[in-house]
Amino acid sequence: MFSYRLQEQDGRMIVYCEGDIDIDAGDLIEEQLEPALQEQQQVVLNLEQVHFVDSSGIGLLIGLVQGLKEQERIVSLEHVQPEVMEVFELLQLDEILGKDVFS
Amino acid sequence: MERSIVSRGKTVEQAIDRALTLLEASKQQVSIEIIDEENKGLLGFNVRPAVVKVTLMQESPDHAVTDETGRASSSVHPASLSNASEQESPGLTASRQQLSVLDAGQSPASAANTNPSSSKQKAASPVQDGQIWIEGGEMRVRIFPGGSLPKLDAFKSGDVLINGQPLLAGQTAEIGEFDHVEIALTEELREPLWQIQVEPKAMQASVHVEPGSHIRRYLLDTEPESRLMLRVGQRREILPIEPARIVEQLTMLGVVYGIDQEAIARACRASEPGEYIVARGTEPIPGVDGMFELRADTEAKKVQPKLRQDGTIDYRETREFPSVGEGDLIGVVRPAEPGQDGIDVFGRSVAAPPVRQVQILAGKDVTLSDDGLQAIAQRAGMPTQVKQGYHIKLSIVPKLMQSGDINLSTGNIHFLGDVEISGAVQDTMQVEAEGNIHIRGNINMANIVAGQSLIVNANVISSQVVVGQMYLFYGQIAPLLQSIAEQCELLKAAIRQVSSASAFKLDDMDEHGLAPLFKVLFQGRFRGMHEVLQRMVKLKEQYAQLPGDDWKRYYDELQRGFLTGESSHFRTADDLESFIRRTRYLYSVVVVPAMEQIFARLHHVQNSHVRCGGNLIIEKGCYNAHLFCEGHLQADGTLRGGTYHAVGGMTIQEAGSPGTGSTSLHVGAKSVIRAKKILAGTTIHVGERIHQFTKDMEHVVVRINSDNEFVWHGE
Repeated sequence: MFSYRLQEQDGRMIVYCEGDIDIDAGDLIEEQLEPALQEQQQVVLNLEQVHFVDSSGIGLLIGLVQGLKEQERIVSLEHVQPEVMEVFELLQLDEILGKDVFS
Repeated sequence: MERSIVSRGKTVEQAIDRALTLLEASKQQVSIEIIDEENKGLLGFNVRPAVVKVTLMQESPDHAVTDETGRASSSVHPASLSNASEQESPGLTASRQQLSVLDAGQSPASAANTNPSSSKQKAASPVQDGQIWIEGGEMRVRIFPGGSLPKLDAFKSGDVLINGQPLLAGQTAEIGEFDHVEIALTEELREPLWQIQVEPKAMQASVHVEPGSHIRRYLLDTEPESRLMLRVGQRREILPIEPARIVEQLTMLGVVYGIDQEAIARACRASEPGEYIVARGTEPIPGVDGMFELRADTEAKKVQPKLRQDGTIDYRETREFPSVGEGDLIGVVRPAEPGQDGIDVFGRSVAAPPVRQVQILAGKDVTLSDDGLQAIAQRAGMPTQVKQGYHIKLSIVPKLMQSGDINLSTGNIHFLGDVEISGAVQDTMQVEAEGNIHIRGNINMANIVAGQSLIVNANVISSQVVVGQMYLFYGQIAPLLQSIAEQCELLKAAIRQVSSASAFKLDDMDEHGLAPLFKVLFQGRFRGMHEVLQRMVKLKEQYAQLPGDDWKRYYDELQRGFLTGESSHFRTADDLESFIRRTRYLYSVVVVPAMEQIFARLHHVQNSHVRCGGNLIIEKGCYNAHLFCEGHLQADGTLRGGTYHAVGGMTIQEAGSPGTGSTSLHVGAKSVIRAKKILAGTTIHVGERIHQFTKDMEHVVVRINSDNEFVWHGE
């Protein structure tokens, strides 16, 4: 089950994600998280507590990050678990989202 | 740490006692080595003292390592080598030379005992300064009564210990007779690293070698001086790999075939890192597929066209369309020749790719010989073949003969076979045939669609002409199908790879298949494949009528599988397998052998659109025409105004219209434009390269090279 917690820190909005980013996370991400981040200039997605993903979940993540980047917001992914990072690398997420997101 | 003292005395006992006093040790704590027994001499001549080496034994086992390295380097005295076993340990080892030379130096004679090069001794002056030198890797000192002590310069901080105190860089110490000098020399030991890899197809195994080395350092010998600057030399020895270990590892991996002992030996001796192929399988030798050879074609070429009494041309006697008479041999089947199986490095047999036999299906008016290898015509006509993979359906196509013009009074013509028209086609009329069309007269404001080839002996004016529509489609779809098949193989591997990642959940595939994954992959690694799929769809829209149900099913599968977005009927990597098979099958259908290629031969073209799936021959010239052909364009007249595309290149007399830039020539990237003359203002496109002529040019031959640059021959 996916959940998140928002915390502002040094002018950056940290999104502490918890649980699996999968098909079931769709409603929460698209209907709540996305609108909640609309006003933020700099967003950090902290994935420390995310241990599993599926392709639908990655699709959601791409949609979220690309949506924010199109509005010229600064987005980054942090504390990605190595197992999850492996999936990201296999799918070349850095190519899709831009390498700056992973720095 | 070990301490040794070389001591001299009138007798062996005296020398030992003296050493024990200095070491503050008892006889039980030391090992004693007698280097030279005393010689009492005869009548006082030739008196020599006894020389012993006394070594303080290790007391604490904690120091075992230091002890060993200490021993390793205690080549202080050649005589002590007997009990100094060379120890090798991985990595960096520090060894310390322990030296403590006790030399009373009272008389020249006793000093000479430790210094074999007694010639140096002879130069001694009455009051001499102390000397220090390195000989055979060990430090020697000689001190004379009344002389100054020799000096030692540090060479690196901490590397020299005098009585346990480090000598810092830049410092100099005087070495007295009882000083205990240790010099640290490092040695490096790098074990050879190697790894065997069997390539995925198991046709070769290679070993990657990072050679090992042993770097030994030693003190360089010096001449006796009053001051010593230590200099260190080093030797690098390659540590070879034991070939048996590689062979053993190969055996463990199951590699048994094609082992190259010589390559193994080379790999073992390598002094630089490298890759050595140590086993090679034997590749299978592919066979030759069966094929069908048309005979009628070559025979028909010998005869000239002949006018019939009614003015029509006897079809059988035109050389362009092959034809057969009743009872003629249409062609023969050449059987497939099987290939030779190979063998991989695991000793397994590798099957040669299967060869396929062609099979002839007898269609209308065709009979086969009993062995199925010869096809015979039952009536006169045009033999046609329809390829379905490796089945060839042969039939004799009937022909519609139309004498006179096609106009409003005759109506349009739609015919399954060939059509021959002795007159003209006029006024918005349409002639459509699945076979060949031969028109003797003009085509004026009409629409011609030939399934196979077209010959027009007169002019094509303000008309639309399509020749070999299916081949046009084939020509465009072939590279796309090939790319899809290749990309799908990679896609299959990528799906398997990500599915096996531990953090990847497969739950959503139950409901949506691979669609969500495709969506991600098409944005990233497989963006190119997505583009190809979209070009496939666009192509389908261009050709309203797809040739046959195979294509409809294939397109349906492609669209529902990859492009619907929300869900896909592909659920696993294995599901792609059958799709890849169908893709390859269709590819084999669309790659048309040269002998089956169709063509169009027109006399003069004006204000018309012509599209041809094969070669296009213009006997005279074109005026403001738009031509496209998949094959080669040959024009024996002038192309004045218009656009001329020929994927397979063009050979023309003249192109361009004086004073205007309205003529453009286009050929594929690998093709050549040859023209006797190109007028100023004409534009040419070779692949993606474009050039506009600013002045007339004759005898033009142009293509592009592998760097995508124009290569010209012309004047």
